Amino acid sequence: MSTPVIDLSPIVRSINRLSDNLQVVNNNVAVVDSKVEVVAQQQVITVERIDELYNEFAQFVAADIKHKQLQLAATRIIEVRQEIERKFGHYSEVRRITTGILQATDAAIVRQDTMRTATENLMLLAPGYWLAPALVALAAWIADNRLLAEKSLGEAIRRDDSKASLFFALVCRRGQRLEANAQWLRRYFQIQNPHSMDREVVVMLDALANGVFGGAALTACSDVVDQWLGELEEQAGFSDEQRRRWAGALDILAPKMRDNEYPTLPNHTSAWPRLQTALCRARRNQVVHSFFEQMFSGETTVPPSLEASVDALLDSLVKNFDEEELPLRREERLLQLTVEEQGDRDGAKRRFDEESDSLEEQTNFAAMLTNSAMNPQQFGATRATQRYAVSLSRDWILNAHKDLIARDRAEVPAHAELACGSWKGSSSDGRNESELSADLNSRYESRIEEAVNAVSLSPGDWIALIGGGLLGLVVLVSGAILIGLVITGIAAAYFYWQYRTLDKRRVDVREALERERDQALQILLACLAELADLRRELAREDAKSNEVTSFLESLTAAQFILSGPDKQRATLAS
Amino acid sequence: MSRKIIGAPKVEASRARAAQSRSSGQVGLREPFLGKRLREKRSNSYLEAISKIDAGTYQSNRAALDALLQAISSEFPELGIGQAPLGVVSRCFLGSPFEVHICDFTGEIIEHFETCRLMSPPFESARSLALQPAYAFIEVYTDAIRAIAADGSVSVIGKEGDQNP
Repeated sequence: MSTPVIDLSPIVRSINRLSDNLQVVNNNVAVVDSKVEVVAQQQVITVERIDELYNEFAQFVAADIKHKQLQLAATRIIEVRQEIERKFGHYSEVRRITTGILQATDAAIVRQDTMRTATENLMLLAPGYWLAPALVALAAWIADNRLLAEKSLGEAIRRDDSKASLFFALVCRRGQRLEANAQWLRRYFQIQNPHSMDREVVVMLDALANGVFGGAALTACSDVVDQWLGELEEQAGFSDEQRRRWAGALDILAPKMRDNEYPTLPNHTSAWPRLQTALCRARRNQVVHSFFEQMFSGETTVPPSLEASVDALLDSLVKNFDEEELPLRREERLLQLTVEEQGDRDGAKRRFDEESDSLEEQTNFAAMLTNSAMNPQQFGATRATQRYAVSLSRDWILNAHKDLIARDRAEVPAHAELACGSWKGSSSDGRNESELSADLNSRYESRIEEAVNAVSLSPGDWIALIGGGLLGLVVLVSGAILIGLVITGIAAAYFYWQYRTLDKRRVDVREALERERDQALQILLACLAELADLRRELAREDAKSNEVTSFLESLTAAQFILSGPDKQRATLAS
Repeated sequence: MSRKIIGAPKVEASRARAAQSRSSGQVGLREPFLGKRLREKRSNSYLEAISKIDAGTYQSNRAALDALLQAISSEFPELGIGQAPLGVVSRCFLGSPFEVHICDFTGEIIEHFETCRLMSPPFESARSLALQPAYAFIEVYTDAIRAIAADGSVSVIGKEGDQNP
């Protein structure tokens, strides 16, 4: 009996074909895998680009808002100025004629009838305006018409006692009527309340600081200023308020930081806003020092004659202090600041709030000093007045400056928390570079080891192997040998393929994390270098606070009163 | 570990000072004189007394501590209850790990603190300023802190010197 020969060659061929096909599948899966990896990388890139786009969009929106605010402010400021011109333009004529009358009288080339007609016309043109009857009185005085002069004076005083008194004090000083000048000044002082003063007191300060008032009037003014300040200082909380006012005025001088001065640090430490604020505030010392130094350096312009000095003061008195215009002047100022701040409405509002006192109808005398020193353009205050106001306020400024410095120093963050990649650490001044670098390397090393070790055959791979093998065995036992072998072969091939790619996946993971570590290290080194620079700059700028203190301590008030222009000599502040 | 030099138990001298203060019926200064007084430059003897805290003589010598507290209380003889400083915080030169120390006038305690250990609430707010070399020490009040420079000049943070009204 011959032994039956089982021809397994078809099965072997089938298995070989199956093996070839599996190899093809394997290759295809590898291709798919690489494509998935590419897609994953592209996704990361896409997310980064979306973040960039979001940031750029946010910047664009902010810039667009600023641009629109700037355009709006530029347009509106023209409208406001037109409105001022429309509502109060007729006052200009009245104002211009003031010094015109005085100069015409000096030159003696205008008939008194002409002056009288002109001033009486102004009474009709500007109803309710204090200056019109004052000018009628002036013309009547020049024409020696006592009855008309007294009548019109009464009307001017009724309309605005304070301004009219100061006006005639200056006019009398111009005419060398010293007794009358002193009487008008006494009247002016009597109606003043240092807690609530009209803005035109700055003109009195101007006259005092520029040496227009001499002799008894100068002494009277100086005494009354001291008396006002003494009275104010006795009020509880006044000195604190005054220090706060000066602190606010100095604080807004802090410059803004330019873009990209510190390119890396801002994105990698949560302490950046506080560090930035600390540096800007420290840089303020230089600005404050320059501000006061410029104010006190150089010569002040002394008008060639007493007449010219008084004319300038009269011009300022009649132009700058009319309360009716204040609401529009306030709006104009805010719009002007918005334009200066390139559309940054918040920045403009902050600056406006600090100087808003200067556009209030009434405020206390010490606030007037602050405003004269810090916002002279709002009053038309001269450089000499600025110096005088600063000298009178010296102690408040010094205390405000010292308090601000203490606040700034207390708020400098002692440490900066750094985040570079997945690493986090902390540095105070960037000097612990080697320690932090070693820590970063060590933590990344641990992370790499963990990630590489985590790359292994998944439970799914084992289930596929065992499940496929068991299923193939069951099918094999049930008689479908070929199908059973095929199923077992597929399971084994899948498992083998997964096993073979393990090393490559581990290498990929290691390389990706090593790249991340290198980038994180570069960022850390850049952060530490910038932090060290920032701390050095902070210390340098902070030290400049002593220069401000020394400068202010050297000031005294008396030396900043100029001698009068009629004495043909100017004692200049030094 | 902190170094508590003298603990909370009161001694006769401190009781005597407190009694003296009460019996004199001192109501203190009212504003604006209080603010002005606390703005005045501190005396050399006061500055010197505070600077001796690091010398360590107080650890074993109760009489030395009483002398220190006496020097401090005589700096503000006219102040009433609640107007004087609660204590001072200054840099500690005992070396690592100590960073700052408190001289608590009310509890009559001198205590040194390490870098990572927080002081009690009213004093902790003075730590960052105390570490600034520009200031000799920081006085802590119920409503403000006052930084005292080496020349005795005063800077205020808090209620009076609030720069952000």
